[in-house]
Amino acid sequence: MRQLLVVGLILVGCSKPASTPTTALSQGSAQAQSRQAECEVIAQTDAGEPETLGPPMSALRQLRRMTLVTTNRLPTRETLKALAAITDETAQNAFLSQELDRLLADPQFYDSMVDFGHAWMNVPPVANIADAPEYGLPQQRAIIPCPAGTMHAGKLASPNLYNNSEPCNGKRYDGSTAEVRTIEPWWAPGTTVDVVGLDGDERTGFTVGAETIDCSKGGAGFSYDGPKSCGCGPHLQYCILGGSLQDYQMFMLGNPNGHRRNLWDEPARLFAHLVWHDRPLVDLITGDYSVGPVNVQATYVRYASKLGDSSVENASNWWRSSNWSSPTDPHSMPTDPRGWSEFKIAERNPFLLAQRDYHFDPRTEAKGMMKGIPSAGVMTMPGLLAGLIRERVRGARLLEMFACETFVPPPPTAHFSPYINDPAGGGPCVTCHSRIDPASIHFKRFMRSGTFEMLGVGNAHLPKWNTGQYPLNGDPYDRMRRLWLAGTKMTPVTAAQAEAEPEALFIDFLPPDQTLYGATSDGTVGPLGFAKLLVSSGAFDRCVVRKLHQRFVGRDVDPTAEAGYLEKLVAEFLKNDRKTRPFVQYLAKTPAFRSGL
Amino acid sequence: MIPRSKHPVRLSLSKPTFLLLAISLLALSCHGTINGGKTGPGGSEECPPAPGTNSETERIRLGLAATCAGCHSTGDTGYFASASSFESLLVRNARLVKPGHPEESDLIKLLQGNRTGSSLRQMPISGDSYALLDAAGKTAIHVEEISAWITSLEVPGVATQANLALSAAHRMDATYLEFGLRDLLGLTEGDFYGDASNYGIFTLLERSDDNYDLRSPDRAPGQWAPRGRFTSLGGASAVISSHGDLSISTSFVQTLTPLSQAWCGMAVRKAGNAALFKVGTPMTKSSDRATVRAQIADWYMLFLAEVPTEADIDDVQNLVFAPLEAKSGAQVGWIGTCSYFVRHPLFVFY
Repeated sequence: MRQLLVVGLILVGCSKPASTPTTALSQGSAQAQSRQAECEVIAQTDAGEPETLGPPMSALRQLRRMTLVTTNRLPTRETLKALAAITDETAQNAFLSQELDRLLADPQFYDSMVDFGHAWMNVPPVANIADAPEYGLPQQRAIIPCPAGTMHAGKLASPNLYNNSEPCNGKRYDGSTAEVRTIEPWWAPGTTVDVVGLDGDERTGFTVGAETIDCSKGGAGFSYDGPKSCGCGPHLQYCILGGSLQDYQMFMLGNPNGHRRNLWDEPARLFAHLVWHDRPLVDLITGDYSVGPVNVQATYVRYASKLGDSSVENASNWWRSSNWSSPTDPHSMPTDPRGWSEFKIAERNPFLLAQRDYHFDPRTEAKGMMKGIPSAGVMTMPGLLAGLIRERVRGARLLEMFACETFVPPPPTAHFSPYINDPAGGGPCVTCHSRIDPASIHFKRFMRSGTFEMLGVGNAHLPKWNTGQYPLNGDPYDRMRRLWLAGTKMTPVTAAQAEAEPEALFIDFLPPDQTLYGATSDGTVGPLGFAKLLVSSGAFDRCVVRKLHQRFVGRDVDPTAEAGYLEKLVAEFLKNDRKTRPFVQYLAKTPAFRSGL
Repeated sequence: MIPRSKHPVRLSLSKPTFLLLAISLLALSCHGTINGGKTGPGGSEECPPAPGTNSETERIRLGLAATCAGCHSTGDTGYFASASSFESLLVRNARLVKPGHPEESDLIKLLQGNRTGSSLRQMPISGDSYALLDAAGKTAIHVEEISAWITSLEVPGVATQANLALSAAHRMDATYLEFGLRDLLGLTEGDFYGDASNYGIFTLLERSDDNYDLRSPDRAPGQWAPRGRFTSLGGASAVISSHGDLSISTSFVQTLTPLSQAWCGMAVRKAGNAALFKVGTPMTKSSDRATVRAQIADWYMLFLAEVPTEADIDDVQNLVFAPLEAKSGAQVGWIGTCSYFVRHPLFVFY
């Protein structure tokens, strides 16, 4: 059965002289890529022997491979038989090409890309912050149905209020009758719910005597019925529907519509969205848009309110999905509130800026003037930032994800200068931290301090945050105070600058005297600055190509043994504007794809 | 020179004949390029030297490796993984090595500890620079020798082809079994799970542990009591922060074997399972030889994507189906035959 063997003809070809030393692998210049594409030289093993050519797969086996890697399925009997009936090689190739196009247009391809996205990025779900199911990400308070046996059983109210069942039995704190309002809730546009008492109050703010109450700033937790208490705001946007404050429906990852699951799902869904809609994969880390059902988008909206900009929450009908028309997943209509629909991040959270080159230097610019942090695809997603809770973990994991970085401990014989106060400057940790810290600097401002903040942005200013005085003690302030030291790679400010302005220690861009993978920053702050470094250094493209090769061919490309092959693939990937489908079609015609059992 | 071919030539040859032919073809094709690295296809233009042909480069590599290989043997900076990686990742990196201009080469600046405009000022990354180690007699090669090598260096060539020896076959991912095998056998989610509710959330409840259900922990709806079978088969799961493992591990084999038997049992017993039985039925016996052989041929194509020879069908019929049928009846014969195909190398690998 396996008697067919291959004798491949060795390719030897060149068309350009080699005297010009411009082939910079790390710089990925067009000239270098062009030269490498043109100049194929015999591959050798280190022993000087030509590589072994593998056996080619039959057309049927190629069909099987391409069906598996695109849809997680095996080819049907009918498709196999149709191909088996073709004996002409050209016709077989045409059949395979046509079949690949069909597979790439199958919604199962989108589903398999969601799985692949998770396997690639491997972002953990956000952990519970106290006793499960509390996980911190919802920044709204929960409202629940009144319990059976009360006057308003089934109508919605806040959880604490039914402890004495007052609103559910029709009474407010002052003995007055609890009003029942019928409201179209943000989480289910086109439907209505009945809300009892205080929670049905849709006002965004009011005054009590001389005091002004801003209702949009309320957070998770219980509500207290009283003269200064707020309701759930316009269309209940300050609240979230849950079983209780301790809500397993929101928490459990097995719930397809669960809030925690949806935020965990968002990175992989954006990847699948880019693939499905033929978008450049670089948008995964540099894009100003994401995808999400209404509860994912609500998290962005709510975070803006918490930071002091409630314009989206109070003034727009962003949640009314009947107005949506943006691309969505292949299983949903664009108007489906539970579809993975595309949205502009800045239109949900204005602090995640649409501006692509925003600079802010806290060493020289006044506190309070930072407009925000540029959005950056998966790297500014609440689920990812909360799942990877600290800046160095984010830096390291994102280098693994998008630069295919591997952190290998130094050999036991290595000698290091003494560790003083900077793991990127001395001591045995420097081997990895020389790369981790220039990445991590971009993620310092995303911090959980009670709520999830963007330090130094909006109203998230922390006067004297580094004093250690209550309430600015404990995690994360103690850790920040201990590790964000002036004069280190991750916090490149002087002691005098830090003394003059403690928020200078929040610096989140790579200064010009530092590099990452040989690339110098343009000064863009936050994760987008990091993303730009990955792209300009070529690390992102090389890594994405390796990931796609792993998925669609079945194995990684070894950068140490196949550097020229990798560069050729990168050139092809760039030629098609970093889109996945054309690259898969290219891969399917390569000898690597067509070789095997 | 052997002309270039777009497609490999397929020949039916005995192995010794093939090897002889291959060796002679390789020898022919290597002429003038591996050794000289100067002549292009028409002999009129120049190629860069082929990898591994510069003995001075090899001497420099081995000399530097004594100090540098500990940290630089994997990934994008795995310069010392091999001779070809040294050449492709370091020698051809114009930022690190600028032929003819050692003073402009970052490699030399790093070794001397005076690189500027970068996070990395020196190599080794910490402690004494290479130049200081060199001065102390702690290196295998001097900085001056490395500079001299760069001065006279000609950029080497690089292979732009995949190493096809690495591309041969890939083991099925657990997800391919979860969906691919399930669908192929004509089974559905409903065959494995019933409905349940957990905290008011729709949840899948296993109908029987004997069914060997397989479901990624990442999937929604979730399971009432998730099993570890998916990760035993090497499946990746972000929910439990498990990376995939595509090796032929003990746990993979030990999980696949009973799973194949359980799933084939369910599929063969499933009434009217046209996805599996297109020719025969679970009751088709050896006495109906033509139908048995047609069914085996059908499965050969379905499971393995191969058109079997008569000898292939003979093997399956005589060595798998017939003995099981003789011992336990036709239905068991088909279950065993089905699970034989699931464990066949051509099924497990793609």
